[in-house]
Amino acid sequence: MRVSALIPKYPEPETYMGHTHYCPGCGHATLHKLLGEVVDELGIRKRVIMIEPVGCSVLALKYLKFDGIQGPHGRAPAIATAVKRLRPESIVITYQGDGDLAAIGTNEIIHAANRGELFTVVFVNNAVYGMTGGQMAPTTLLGQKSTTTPTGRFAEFCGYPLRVCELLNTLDAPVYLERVSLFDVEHILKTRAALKKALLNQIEGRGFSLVEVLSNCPTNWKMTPEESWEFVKNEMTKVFPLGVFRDK
Amino acid sequence: MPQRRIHLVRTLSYQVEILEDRCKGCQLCIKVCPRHLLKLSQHANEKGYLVVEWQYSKTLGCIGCGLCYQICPEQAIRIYAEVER
Repeated sequence: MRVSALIPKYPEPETYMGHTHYCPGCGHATLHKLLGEVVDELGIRKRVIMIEPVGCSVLALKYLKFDGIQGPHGRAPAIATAVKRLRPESIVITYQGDGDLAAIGTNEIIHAANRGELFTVVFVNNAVYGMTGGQMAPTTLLGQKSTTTPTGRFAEFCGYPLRVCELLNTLDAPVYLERVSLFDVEHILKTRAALKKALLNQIEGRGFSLVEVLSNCPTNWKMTPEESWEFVKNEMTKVFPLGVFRDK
Repeated sequence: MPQRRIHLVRTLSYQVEILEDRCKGCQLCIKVCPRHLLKLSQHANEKGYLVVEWQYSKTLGCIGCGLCYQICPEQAIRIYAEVER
């Protein structure tokens, strides 16, 4: 008689607890899982201090077993600067959405990047304000419908989509800027590698690193999860090309 | 992690468990499964979402590729390897 045993092939990360409040198919939960896996792999869970944003992921610390601070809207880089300067031994991550980082916190992120502060920014770009009900964000694509642009975004009235990685690439201080996405498994694994690299840059003391993650918002885009990832793959990557912008 | 060394032992089969209290029925896993073993069931969990179910197949069964585990946002999928002891 053959005796067999069942072993989990993919052990779950200890840091990520699941049971999130996000909508079905939301990219935030996938990204939390990747962050948990990377932190477990590097073994830095007790040193991490995560600065939560305002937005859908305001409860991120409920699902990730880190220490952290919840900052005012857009001011996470300022808090992260203070935390990193006062506690240099800790690993500081800010987790920000596009309304948080690219709209109200543009000033903070540009100056933090220009000073070359030693922390890691995870920037989730889903092209709308998700939590407040789908208003237009600076990163909304031209022609994309949102609550405040019901006939689509016009460049004459609302301007053009803001490309944060390209903007920060004009500065001298950042060491690592990459734009990744989560629309299929290949890109999920690339995102994992990018997060790991950004955290290693901080552990080794190289400098400021930012990972921009193209994500979806099926509820506010009024699509099914599968359609929303197709939209990210076909439309968003034309405006926000994926790739490494800086790696030094 | 010692459990990661699972590729060193011979695997008899793979079994998938869907945690129904976590599943939100987003159906991303149905699209990525190369063997088409996952499908949407007709019963709802306590949150009210129709959950995904996995069907066992002895001949064209799970190959343990982990695509559904990677794409699941909620970690509702667990893949177990059946090994000889």
